[in-house]
Amino acid sequence: MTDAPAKERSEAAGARNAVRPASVLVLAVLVLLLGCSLLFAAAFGAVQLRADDLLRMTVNHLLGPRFEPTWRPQDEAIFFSIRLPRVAGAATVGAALASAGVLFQGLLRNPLADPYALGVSGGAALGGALGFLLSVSFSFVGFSPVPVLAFGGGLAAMSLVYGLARSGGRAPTVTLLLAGFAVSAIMGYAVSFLLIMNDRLQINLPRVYGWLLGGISVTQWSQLAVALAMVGPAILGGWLLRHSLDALSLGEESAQQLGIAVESDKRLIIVLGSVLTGAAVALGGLIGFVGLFAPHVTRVVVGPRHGLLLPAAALVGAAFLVLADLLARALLPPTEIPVGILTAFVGGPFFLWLLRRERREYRL
Amino acid sequence: MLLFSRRQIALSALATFALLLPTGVPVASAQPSGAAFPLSITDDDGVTSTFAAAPQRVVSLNPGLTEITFALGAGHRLVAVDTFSDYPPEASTIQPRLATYPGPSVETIVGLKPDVVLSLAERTDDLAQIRRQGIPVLKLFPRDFDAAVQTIGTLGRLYGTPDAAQAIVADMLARRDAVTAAVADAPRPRVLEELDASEPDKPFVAGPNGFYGQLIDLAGGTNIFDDLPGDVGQVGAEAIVERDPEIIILTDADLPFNPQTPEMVAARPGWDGITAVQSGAIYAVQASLYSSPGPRLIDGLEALARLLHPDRFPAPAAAQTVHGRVRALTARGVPRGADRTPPRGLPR
Repeated sequence: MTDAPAKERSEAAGARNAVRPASVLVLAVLVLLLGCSLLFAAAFGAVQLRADDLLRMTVNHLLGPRFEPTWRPQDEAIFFSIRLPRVAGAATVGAALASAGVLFQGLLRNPLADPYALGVSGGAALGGALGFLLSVSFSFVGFSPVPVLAFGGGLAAMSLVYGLARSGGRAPTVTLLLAGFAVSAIMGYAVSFLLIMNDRLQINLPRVYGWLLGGISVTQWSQLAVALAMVGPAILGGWLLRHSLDALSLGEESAQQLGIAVESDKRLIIVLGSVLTGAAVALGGLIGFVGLFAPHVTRVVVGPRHGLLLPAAALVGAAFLVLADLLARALLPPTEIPVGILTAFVGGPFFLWLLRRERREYRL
Repeated sequence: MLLFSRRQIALSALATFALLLPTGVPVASAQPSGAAFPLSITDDDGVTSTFAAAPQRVVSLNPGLTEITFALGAGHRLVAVDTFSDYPPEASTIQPRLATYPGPSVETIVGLKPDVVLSLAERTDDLAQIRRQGIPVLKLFPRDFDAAVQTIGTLGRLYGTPDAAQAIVADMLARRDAVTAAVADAPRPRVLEELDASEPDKPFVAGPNGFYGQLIDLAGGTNIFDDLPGDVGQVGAEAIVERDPEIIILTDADLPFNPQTPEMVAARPGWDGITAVQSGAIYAVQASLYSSPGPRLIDGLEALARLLHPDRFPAPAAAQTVHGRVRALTARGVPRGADRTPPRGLPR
């Protein structure tokens, strides 16, 4: 155990080498896994559509009418306008949450850190609750008031936490964690207070509660475009910071000695994590567990180096949430189940099993 | 007469029977009201309370029970209501107004020294605590139209105004029967009743039970979500498009949060193929007529029946020229207040 840091340090130094073939293989397998789960999720849903119809429908959609429709007109609307945006949304949210989890776990060196660790959950819940309270309906590039305000609330809370934790040009990890916890708790209880005090919200209590449990809600491709424009570059940005993340896992002083600009890289990581979490909240509300456990599951399999961990965790998170959302849509049709319940019920036991199976000590 | 389905006959019979059933005290209007006391009433929790005289100080914890109290001419006896009681308009001036979530203030209620507390769904513990102070509590939780009608009868006996109750009950049942008779042989359109669409791709909708679902049934519609397990459920847009409603009813048009308009519903992605969207049969209605267990349920039923079956309920002016049965309906007030254009932009 004692020489492990030394070994890792030499690995961190050597990580600037080219990507290894093994990594390419792992990523290829995970891309395949995500592809399969996307196909699976597109093929099933609350409404049963025949697989061959779906294929012909898609060919017609892409290449112009080649086949006589053997399906009802509404089947095309169900598939192209309702199911596909939802599946794509689940993949985007899953990738965003898992990447944000990797970033925050690496930054905070804390296995319990998740995308909501820096106050986002409380801020987003408060913003979302205010969205339920608003007397207006508006649409912002396809988003209704609840996701827009949840996004704003989450980012505002995260900025507040960073601002509070910063002193003398530094934002110590422990202070960040504690400030995040306190801000999240204050805002979370502010939501409870709102729910109790406001007559309008009382009527809507089950709805607000359901929203707080999380659920992918994508009604327009424009929403997806906006989210992807945030998530894609943010994951890439995180990957470019992989050496800093590897170095930070040794502690901030060691990272400094390795020549990492610790404070500015930390700030960058927080910004990227915020963008990822904000995009996820806008599309899916507060979906728990994915951002916590997808990085861990991936780390058990591919190891702790961020160059591979980050893209691999993004793929695992995307595949997992696509399947969880499929269950949310199709388990009890026509009823929708909040996907947060399923991520915990399905992901939790799997993670515990993996943790038990792994005999050696598990570390970040 | 084949215009009635067996089920409707059974329902009417049940309602009439149920009115007479609970205490054995007949609701017959001939009986002088003073002779009814002492009066024992068993509430929907199975708790029996005995009243020596008609209560003069009443606390109502539900807008429906408040509404019934006013309809029975006993509004002046209310010494406190819940924060949602805003109909009739006089109800909104009553002080104090008690918040009912997470629970009513037992201290405040006991301090008011009421003769009775009317509750719909408060916690058993809170109600037991009030009862221990010697204050009778009636938990009246009607879950469908007939139970709401029965509750009006019960409160009529409680207030010593059985004649007023009988008049309302008879009116509601007669108008209900008129609606079911008018739509009995009409084709039953597929209906989606949307209750909340804060997430427009998975709205909350009316299930088979409760007032929402039952009124669709009575108004001669087929609820496309009559397979949900409860009164209300959250469903995916896939299932809505699949089940292709012919009529969409929006009770979330006058909500204070995320109110929906027919235009917004029509613009939802993938909904353009739905029959109701193509024919423009998306109607905003006044939510309180469909959710509050009170005398206005019948107004909701009539308005809904007119939207589902406009041909069966001609506008009042046209009613002069059609045959006797429909004219009789008109005289009873079936078309009252409702016309074929959906009420949009309701005041909040």
